[in-house]
Amino acid sequence: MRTRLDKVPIAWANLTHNHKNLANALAGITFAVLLMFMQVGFLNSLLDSTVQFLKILDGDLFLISKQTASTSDNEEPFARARVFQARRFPGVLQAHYVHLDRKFWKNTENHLKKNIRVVAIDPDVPVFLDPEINSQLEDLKKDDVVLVDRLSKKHFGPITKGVRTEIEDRMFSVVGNFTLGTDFGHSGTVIMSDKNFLNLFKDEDELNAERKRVELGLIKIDPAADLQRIQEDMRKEFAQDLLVLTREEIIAMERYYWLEGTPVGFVFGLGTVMGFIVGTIICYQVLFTDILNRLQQFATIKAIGYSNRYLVGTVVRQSLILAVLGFLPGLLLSQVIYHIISRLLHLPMNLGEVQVILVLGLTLVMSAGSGLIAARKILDADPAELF
Amino acid sequence: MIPLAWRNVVHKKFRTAVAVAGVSFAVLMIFLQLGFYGSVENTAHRVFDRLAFDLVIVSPHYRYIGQPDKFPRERVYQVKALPEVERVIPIYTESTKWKNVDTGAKRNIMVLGFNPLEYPFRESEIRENLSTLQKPDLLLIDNLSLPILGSTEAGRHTEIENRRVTIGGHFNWGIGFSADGIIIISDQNYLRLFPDNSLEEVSLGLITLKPGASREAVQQNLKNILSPQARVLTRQEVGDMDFDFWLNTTNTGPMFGAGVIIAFMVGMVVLYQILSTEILGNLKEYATLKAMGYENVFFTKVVLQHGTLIAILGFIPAYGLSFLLYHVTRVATNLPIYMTPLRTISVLVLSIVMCTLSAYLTAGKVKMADPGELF
Amino acid sequence: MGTSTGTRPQDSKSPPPHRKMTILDGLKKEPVIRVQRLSHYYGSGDNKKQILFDIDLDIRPGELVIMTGPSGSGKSTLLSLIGALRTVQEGSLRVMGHELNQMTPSQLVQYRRDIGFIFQMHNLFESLTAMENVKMSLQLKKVPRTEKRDQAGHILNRLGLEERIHYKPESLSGGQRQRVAVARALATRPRVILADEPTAALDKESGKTVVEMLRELCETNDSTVLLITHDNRILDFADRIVNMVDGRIVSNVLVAESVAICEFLIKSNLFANLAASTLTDIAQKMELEIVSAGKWVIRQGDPGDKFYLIRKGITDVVVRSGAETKKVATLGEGNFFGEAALLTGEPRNASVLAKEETVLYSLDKENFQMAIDSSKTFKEQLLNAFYQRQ
Repeated sequence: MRTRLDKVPIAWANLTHNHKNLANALAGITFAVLLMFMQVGFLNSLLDSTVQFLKILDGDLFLISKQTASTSDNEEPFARARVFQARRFPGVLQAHYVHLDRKFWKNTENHLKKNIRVVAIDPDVPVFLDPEINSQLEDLKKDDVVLVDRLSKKHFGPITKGVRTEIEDRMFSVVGNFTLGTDFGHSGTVIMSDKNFLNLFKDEDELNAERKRVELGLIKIDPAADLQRIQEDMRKEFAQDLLVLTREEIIAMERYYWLEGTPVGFVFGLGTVMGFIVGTIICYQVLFTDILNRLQQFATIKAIGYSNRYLVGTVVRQSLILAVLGFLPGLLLSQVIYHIISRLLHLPMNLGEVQVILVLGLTLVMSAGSGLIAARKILDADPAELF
Repeated sequence: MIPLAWRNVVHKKFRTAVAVAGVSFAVLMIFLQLGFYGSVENTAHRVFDRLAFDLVIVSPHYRYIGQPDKFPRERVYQVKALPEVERVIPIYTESTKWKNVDTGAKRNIMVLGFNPLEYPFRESEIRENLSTLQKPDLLLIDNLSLPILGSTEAGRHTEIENRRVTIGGHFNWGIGFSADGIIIISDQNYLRLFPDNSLEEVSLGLITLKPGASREAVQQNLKNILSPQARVLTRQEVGDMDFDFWLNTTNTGPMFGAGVIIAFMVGMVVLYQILSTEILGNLKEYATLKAMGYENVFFTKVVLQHGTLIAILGFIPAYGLSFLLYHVTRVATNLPIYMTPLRTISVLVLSIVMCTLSAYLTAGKVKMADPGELF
Repeated sequence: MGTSTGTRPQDSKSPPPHRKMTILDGLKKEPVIRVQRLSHYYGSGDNKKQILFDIDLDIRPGELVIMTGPSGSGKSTLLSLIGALRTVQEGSLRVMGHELNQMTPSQLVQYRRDIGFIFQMHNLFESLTAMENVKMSLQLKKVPRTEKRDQAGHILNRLGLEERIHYKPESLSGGQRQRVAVARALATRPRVILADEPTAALDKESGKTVVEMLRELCETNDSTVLLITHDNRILDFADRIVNMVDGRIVSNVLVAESVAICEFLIKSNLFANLAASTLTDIAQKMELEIVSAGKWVIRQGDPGDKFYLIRKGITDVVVRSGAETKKVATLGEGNFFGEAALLTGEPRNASVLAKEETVLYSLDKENFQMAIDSSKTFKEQLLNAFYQRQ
């Protein structure tokens, strides 16, 4: 009796028969897959890096000025009173504010001043999710002290605990570090108390203005309360000058800003699209060439008298196996390169599941397609001519 | 000589087409990445290319045109006093927000202010609008600003720093990644918009030397005079600083670089595959030639020629398509992305290197052709 | 003393085809290929397998040698070694004056340019036309452009491909492709041609053309052809047939010579009754000796060790008795001598002097004895002949 198991696994046997051919084809697919993943990775890193700051903030709802399109590129202030107003909404557990600004940090080695992002908060309230920052909040209460992102760019000079330097001509001490990373708009970040932050403003009028305004409001909601309803209510209340966004919304907005609103986003978006097109075409090319190389083997099977269906099935199966075998090292290699890049550039390099599936899907579709086209070539061929 | 490589290329038309397509796309990818890289470089030089100067005075904290920091105007007068110096023009810059009149959204723009009596530009584009600039709260805006700034027709009003301003005219610069747009105003309007700023604090001092003066000597002299409150840079030096900022601080450089490298490798692998298919398919023929007394050099040459032919054939469509992609990018972003002769040549060289390298690696396969097996 | 019982010298004008004379002339030349104690192995370690065992083979310029034998007998390996496609492992292989295992790789490449290779598979470049494929070999010889075209065109015409000169292999039939491959190998008129089944894919007519061309190169160019074939139709073009079994040469027959020897032997009363197979056996065991004019072949009083047949040339038989020497006979083509001492075990009873350069076939004592033992008739006849001479 003939069962499936009796069948010679010809697709597999064909592939593994010639190791060099196999390695060659796999390398082609691997690199094509890698190309796709690298472009996706760069786009992701661009987008992820801009939201990594939002991700360490603890809040269910975020308040930002209506004029703010991006919290990392053009943060606009709004009245601090709005945050206090938010506390009065039923279901709100806490509402806190964050000052975002850029100030000059003096490199203690070459005395050059470089722009650094300043995040100013009230150290009495925990607005961060990062336990490392939260454990150092007590230290921030001292005068003229900061925590510095240890992933800040080298041009800031020494940034470790104990370093003393000037921020906007005022002497500060570094009391600790945390891990955040740079993004397209910022090459470094410090966290300080709002009290110390306000001390940076020497001009009386400016100080008074700054006291009354903040760039970000963070609202914690009672888990039992209806978040959506509270958001609706706040929107109505603050419609004139604020946006009330959930965590997901503000992150999506930030990504959207960079992807759609900036040349940088376009460039990397186009790079990714091109990467996909090129990668897909190359997968096709590699698979197709590989099958052409094995044309003789298929002609033999055909000559022996196997059905066309069997032939087509074998060819397609063979290219699918190749696609998967090439995809896996491509994925693996991309992770290695991501790791290297994120170590070197302090950029988050991550892949979304959807993107992995998309690349896999494209590879498979292309492999099946090239298999079918190649199969046609085999079916059209006269076995007699192939010898 | 029989052009064996060429015959191989033309004979298997389909296989060649597939190889050419693969190489072509890899080359296109390289063009795209280098184009982006080039637009970063253009961005760096964009503003300075419009300004007339031999040397420029900047703050020691100068990072790039968007973050120039400031230095005291005294320095300008001090430099003016030098006999080799024809004139020194102070430029005031600021980064601020532009309110999109259609949506109300605010976007980052660059402001460039100067005294209309001292014309600092190389081209006369702005000169026609000097009278407009002198009117209170009137400004000129770059036509090549991002569309996201909203309507920029002359006569439209909008807000900068909560002050109502009016668009008085246009110019065509395009500043790339630096900001979403740039506006030019008079020094008086600069003071109106930024009352906290003073004309005593200068962003750039554009030095024009008298004919015959030695730039190097003046620069050396000025270094000593200005240090440490200000630095003096050549056009090249200041452009390099901006370029360095974009490449390294913003990480675009390594990313585009990695894109080029991977595209290069993809191209190599694709060609390697095609060429080894070709060689493996003709192994017996190559073995016969070996038996007849052809030397290894001959085979390497044939394979290298084959690779080079495919490189050139693949380059041509990629070159054409890259114009299309550049165009799309320009339309979508106003990024200064243009094909340059240098890039054309370097990508051509790169594709030939890519194909040659690949062919060279493949040529080793001819060793597999063993004439001993022929009988 | 013996006089010839065979054909008399003057009527020894048996009709040797003209090429036999060529061969005979060739036999006097230095071998173009000299194989000595050649052994060859494939694989290594436990998989090491001996393919050739102590091969000795001399082939002289102008010879067309057909190699036969079952597959796996080592013919192809021997051809590969002669063509320097494989490296000599053991023994010596001299071709055209070069000791192959003493040559550098680049010298070997140069060496191969003087050899014409015809492989079983045509191995033509699909991308090149028939003409260009042929030019691929001429190109190595730095032949001027126009000459290259003329030569290639000429040889393709001769092979009946004038209509197909600019066709690529895919539009040629199997036989046509093979003929292009032959043209490629012969276009440079190489001194040594190694061919593997060159006629297998050809019809009778083109097969004949190909072999005739090979023949012609042997005769006009002194080329040497080594040809593996199982094609019976071309056997009669061979000067020599070498038969290999299991890595050994089991027979090496100079066909034309063998025929000539048999013809001489059979014309003699002595061998007239022998079966053809016995004759060829004897003929095969006979060795060629060339004695220049004025030299002694055998001397009276020496122990008898060989039996001689004169293939060509004239000798005097001289008997010395006391101080007196006397010419007792003149022997020529087809005559034999030297059997008496072998049969009686006594020393030579006469001397034989070559009057001119003489080609002789000799049979050593041992083989002579075996031949006699193998056939009673043969022995009796010999004895008879011997006694008649007494």
